[in-house]
Amino acid sequence: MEAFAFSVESLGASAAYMMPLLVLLLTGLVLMLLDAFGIRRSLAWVAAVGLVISAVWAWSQSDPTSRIVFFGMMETGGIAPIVHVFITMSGIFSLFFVHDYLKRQERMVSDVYALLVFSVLGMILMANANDLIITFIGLETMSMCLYIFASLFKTEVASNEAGLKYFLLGSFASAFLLFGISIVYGMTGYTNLSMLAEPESLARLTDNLPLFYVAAGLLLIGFLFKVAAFPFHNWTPDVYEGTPTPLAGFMATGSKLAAFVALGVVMKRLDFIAYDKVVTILALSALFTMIYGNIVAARQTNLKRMLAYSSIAHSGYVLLGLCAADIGFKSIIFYMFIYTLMNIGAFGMVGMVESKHTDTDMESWRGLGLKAPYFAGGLAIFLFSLAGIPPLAGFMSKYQVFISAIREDLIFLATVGILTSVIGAYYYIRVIVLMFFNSQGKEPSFNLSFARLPMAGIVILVALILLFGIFPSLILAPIEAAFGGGVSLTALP
Amino acid sequence: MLQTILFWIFAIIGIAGAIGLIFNKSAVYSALSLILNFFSLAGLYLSLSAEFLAAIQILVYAGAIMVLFLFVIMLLNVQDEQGVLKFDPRQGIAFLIGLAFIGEMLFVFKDFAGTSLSGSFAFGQVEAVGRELMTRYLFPFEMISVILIAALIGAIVVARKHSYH
Repeated sequence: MEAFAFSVESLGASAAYMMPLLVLLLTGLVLMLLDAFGIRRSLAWVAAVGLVISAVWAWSQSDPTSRIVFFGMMETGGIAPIVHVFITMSGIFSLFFVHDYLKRQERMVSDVYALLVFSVLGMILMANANDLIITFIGLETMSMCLYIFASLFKTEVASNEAGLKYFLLGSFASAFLLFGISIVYGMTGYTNLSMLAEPESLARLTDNLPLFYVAAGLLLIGFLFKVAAFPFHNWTPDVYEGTPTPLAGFMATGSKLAAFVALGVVMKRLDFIAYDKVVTILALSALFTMIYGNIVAARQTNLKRMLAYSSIAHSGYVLLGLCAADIGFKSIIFYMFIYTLMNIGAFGMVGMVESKHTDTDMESWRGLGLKAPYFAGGLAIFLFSLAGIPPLAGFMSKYQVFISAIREDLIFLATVGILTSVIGAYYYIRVIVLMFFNSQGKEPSFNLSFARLPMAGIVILVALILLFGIFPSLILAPIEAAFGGGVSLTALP
Repeated sequence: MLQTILFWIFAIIGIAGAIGLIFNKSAVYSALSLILNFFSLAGLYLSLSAEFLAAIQILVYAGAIMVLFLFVIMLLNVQDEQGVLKFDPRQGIAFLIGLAFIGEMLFVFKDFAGTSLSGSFAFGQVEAVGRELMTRYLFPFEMISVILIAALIGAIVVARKHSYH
């Protein structure tokens, strides 16, 4: 009908490119069947194997020139494979902690593995979509699974509250996004992102500026809700608190990475950076997210809530990167990957200390460093990295975002970012002080979990944080390469 | 001319249904008002010659979903809402923001109302929808099944009695 001329063969080629996604789908279905037939012992391993195969397959397809497949619905090549790998890794690292956590909570719900794989699939769909319909379907797939994670412990009030809040507010936000998409469709006749990036469509969008601003605003509301940015952050602490801790870590990393990439792609294609008003809204949101997240996080006494508010603060830094156009987009993919490593580690370790009868109040962590120095040392590394202390990877990721903001002349925002990350350092280091230097002769009462699998996960994550902190180019180079050849996001057929 | 008349009839009934949904104190009446809203939407679709969409709207929404909804309301024996319309400062703020939003929308759509999409009249009919679903929208169409599976698992997780083992 329009500019697309897809032959039947391209469907076969498309299917080949979609194999990594189909692997995820298959893994999810196999997990469901295994669960149904009562084979529950190795579900986590099956999920992990499926995720790894999918990641490796996607990585093997990496190609600097991006291709549009499935009638323009999906993007492959360009940044798509690396985003695929990063999102899958978020799932894989969470798996290290999930099984042990559920076992110690005496609430084995074996459906989580299938849901985790499906939500990874949704995230990848959302991030690598080339059509707003796919963006929406991916977002809904992801959210549907996350809603269930939030309400997993259905006998607990906190979990019920989390599930209901997340579900109601999330559906509301999705509706905003959908409304924005439908206005864009009404103005141009396309939902396809590469068709929208054509000068003709962009001109149609600019023709009616007020309507375009409404559409952009609605799209932003939808995305900003998903990344928990100010002023759509209110759900975050309650939802993370009620969610099983390792899954909250997954929620805070994978889904945000996907939403940020999707937002970045939409911004790029619809050329949001060219409209001052849209950039101002984003910049204001970034500003207030950084300030609010950090200041409120500093006042928390519950470790899980503190991590939730700090994840709001981190969203602010990433939004700051998004304001910084192209370089910023590269930097936020790096940032979100590093954030994935350290945040899943931190949430995972909080989950290991939690048991069915203890809460995550900070007081109960007092003196942990004296009782279990290596364990507390691991958590300290994650917290130092989240605070952005060199030579850990968290420093490099913050550095990349701030430097790209400064290069794009966002000096004020970058200054605020640096100042608020000082507040961030305060509340992360406060926990470390509490664990090591301020025991007041108290012995922590809880019994720690030293199961092998989560311990292995911590060792791997700590090693990766050190490695990427000292050699950030190991990650930066592939990201550059993904963007480099033919600047994947602009040069489209 | 006829289309304009039909539009106004359906639009007014639809908005009346939506208002009834919000302001009825009884959940059953609210659900019935929603059905009214769905039917008038289906009428709007029909007047835009999207017959397939209209049929689906009635079958799926007004038929399946709302019947389920009514069953749930009646089974749970939901009481009439008390004191929903009591004033609360936060509600006032929400009301003002909502009002501003409506004003904004009206202002923006005022200029947009005249323009129409360049679609053919076969756009909303079964054949066209089927062809599009099986070609261009094949991938999203298939991927929606993942959402359905996830929702299915979710329903089971939330609803079953012994979920821990």
